[in-house]
Amino acid sequence: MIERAPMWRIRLYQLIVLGVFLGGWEWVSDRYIRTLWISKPSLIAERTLEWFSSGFIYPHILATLQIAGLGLLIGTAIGVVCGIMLGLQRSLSRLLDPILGGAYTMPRIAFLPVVLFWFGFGFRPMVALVVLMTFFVLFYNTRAGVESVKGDLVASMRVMGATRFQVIRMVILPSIVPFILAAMMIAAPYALVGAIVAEIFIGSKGLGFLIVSSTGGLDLTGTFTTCLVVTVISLIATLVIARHGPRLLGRSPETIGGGAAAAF
Amino acid sequence: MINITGVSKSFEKDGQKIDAVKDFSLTINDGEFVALIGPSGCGKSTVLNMIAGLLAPEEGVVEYNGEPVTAINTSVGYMTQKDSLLPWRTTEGNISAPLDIRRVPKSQRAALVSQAIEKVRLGGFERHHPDELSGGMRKRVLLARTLIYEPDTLLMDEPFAALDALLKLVMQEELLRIWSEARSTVVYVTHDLTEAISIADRIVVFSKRPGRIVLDLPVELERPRDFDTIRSSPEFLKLYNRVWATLRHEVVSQEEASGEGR
Repeated sequence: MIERAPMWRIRLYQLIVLGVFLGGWEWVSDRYIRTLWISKPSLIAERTLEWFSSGFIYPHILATLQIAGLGLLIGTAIGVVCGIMLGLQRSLSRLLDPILGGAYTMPRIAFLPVVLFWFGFGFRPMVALVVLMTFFVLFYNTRAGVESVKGDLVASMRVMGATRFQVIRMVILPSIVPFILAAMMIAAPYALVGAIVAEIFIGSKGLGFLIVSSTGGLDLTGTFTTCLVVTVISLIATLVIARHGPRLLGRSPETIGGGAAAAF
Repeated sequence: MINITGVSKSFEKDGQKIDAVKDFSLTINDGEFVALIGPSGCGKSTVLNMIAGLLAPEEGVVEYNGEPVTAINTSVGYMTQKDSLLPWRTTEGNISAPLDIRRVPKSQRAALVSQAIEKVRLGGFERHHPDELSGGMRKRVLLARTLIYEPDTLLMDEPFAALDALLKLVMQEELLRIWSEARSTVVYVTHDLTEAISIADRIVVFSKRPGRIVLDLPVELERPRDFDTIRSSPEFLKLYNRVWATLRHEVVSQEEASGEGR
């Protein structure tokens, strides 16, 4: 057997690396590079405390979460429905593959002006951008999930008398739950990116707005603090989906085995 | 009654057309326990799939109770070697699946399911998921699920092939015990000659591909059969040797044929 470093020691080394990085940053700032350009960890920590204790940050977090969350839900709904339909219609799926592939490779952020043209300014175009950002991940994963359902399973249900609709309800839907969850975990950071980019361009509040207004005011501490908040939210969102997703989708986590939940 | 007349079916494999069965005919009477035996790839499973309506013949006709099979045949129960249990359902949930499909009222389901669980001796494992059960237990769940809606005909495609030899014996006995009460028609595909003779009323031997019938013999051993003694009885050995002589020839020439293909 190969000896491996125990977990606590790996964690310790990771902490040391982090400490060296933050310490170096703190030390360099104002000595060699002006704090204006790179801020410094102590200022970011101070600002974080300030924003949370004064409550200043909460409306911005809420605004971004609303856009990202609603966009993710709509993107999931559309992606799952399309994924099931094309997963069950292989010939149609193959026919559309080049078109879908092309659409997937397109930089979807570039669609922001188009989305604005369609929906005007405000909440709706920002949600629409998040839908665009998340749809494909959900679609492709759902379709892969449907295609991975064993033919024997479907055949055995059909012989027992199941209609096509019953096969979808009793076999397909439960089989794709782990695929949907995995896709949502991948899509959650994309949803946040989509929401923040939209806010950077047209937001009047939210974390994206905070990033532009801080940077514009030469307040890099504010920018970095916002980025820290975004990162933490992203991590929490992924964890929440992994922990509570199975129950929300009607499966107990222990029956998912090997899927999204087991990875956490 | 199952009436298969002049049926042909082929498959594409690596761009080549392979005949699974060609001009194949077979009649199976109600209540008969028939074993289909033959070398691997001789079209036994194709025949079962056609009776179940999962495959349509290219030529000829498959009739079930006088009606041609043109769609999925829901009067049969089909148990394959592959494990087709739903992994997210418990033992109870899996056994109850056909009842859910048939919209049997909830009040009746529980009673039927617990009866079925008792029949296959799975008491105490009602709430277990398939991955918490042993191979033999999973087969029992499959068996209970197949029997619970009382299909007229059971199609069994090497149902116990994945089990070890001892467990296989136990499951064969269980099957016979349950069948002796239900008395449905059984079409049992196997390539285990001892198994075929021990459980069936009639043995149909397939040729190598494309499958034809080369031998069709009744098994005149008394029921209920005692597995401990039956296998050393002179009738059994006579039958075994008779069938083996034919089967051996087919297996050998199938082997040679697939050797030439390479």
